[in-house]
Amino acid sequence: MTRYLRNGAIAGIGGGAALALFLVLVGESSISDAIAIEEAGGHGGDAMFSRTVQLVGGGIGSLLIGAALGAIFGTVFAATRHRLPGGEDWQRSLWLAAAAFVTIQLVPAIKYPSNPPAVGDPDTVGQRTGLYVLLVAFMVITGLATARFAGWLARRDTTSQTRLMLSAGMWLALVTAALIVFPPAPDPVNAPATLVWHFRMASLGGVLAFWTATGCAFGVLLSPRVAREPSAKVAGEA
Amino acid sequence: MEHTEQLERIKVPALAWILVAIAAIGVYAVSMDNGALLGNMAGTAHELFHDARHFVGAPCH
Repeated sequence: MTRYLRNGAIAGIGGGAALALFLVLVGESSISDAIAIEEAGGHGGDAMFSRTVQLVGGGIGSLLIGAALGAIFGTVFAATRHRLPGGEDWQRSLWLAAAAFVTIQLVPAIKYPSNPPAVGDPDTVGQRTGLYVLLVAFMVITGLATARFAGWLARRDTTSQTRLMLSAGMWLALVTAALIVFPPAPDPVNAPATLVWHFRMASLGGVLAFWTATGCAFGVLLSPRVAREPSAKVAGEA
Repeated sequence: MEHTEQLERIKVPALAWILVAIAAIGVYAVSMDNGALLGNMAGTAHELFHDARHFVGAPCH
């Protein structure tokens, strides 16, 4: 168990490094552009830290978030390993990373996309944070419920096609319902559309880089160092 | 067919789940908190981790 936790945290730090790199190379320019607009509009306020410090802080923040998400990833992997698709641990790792990306980032980002500085009313930040956390929680519960449902179907001698159609249908129905029922983001987006678009794409690309790197690194860390002998019949050690 | 074999279930101790909860709170503190958890420290954390917070899609400002 500890090796899953440890390797998860290590892989997550690797993912955090990928996120930080993506932030510096792709995201930073649109954040700086947005701050320039903010300050031109007189809403910037006194800067507590310089942009350089903020960029370093952003990197440290990425690594911290990565380590924490990686530890969670490792534990969830251990708990779900016997259910994950794929014949080898690195395949299971990529599957779980893809599921995590869709569950806690992609779907929430469809309803409440990320915004650069200069967008967002400080008075509604509590409400927006609450809605965002609630949607992430709903997505995690939906994922667990769908896995349970698929397991229940499997015990009832259904074919894999039936299971896939019914589970995917249930998941899609719940996600669609949530996207409709959750109230829209309360703030107007007044920043230039191209700036907002670039920022959102960079942000999604960054979290995709995070989960890809984390999933790959975790899979590599779990894999045996040398290719298994063809005579070995054991399908993965515990 | 190797991959159809039932894998042994790994026992995850309660301690690991407690760690998961702590890690989730940590992610919240670094990426989203605006005072509910960190109180007066939240403004400083917000400014320091500013770029990462915006970038991972946390609601900001």
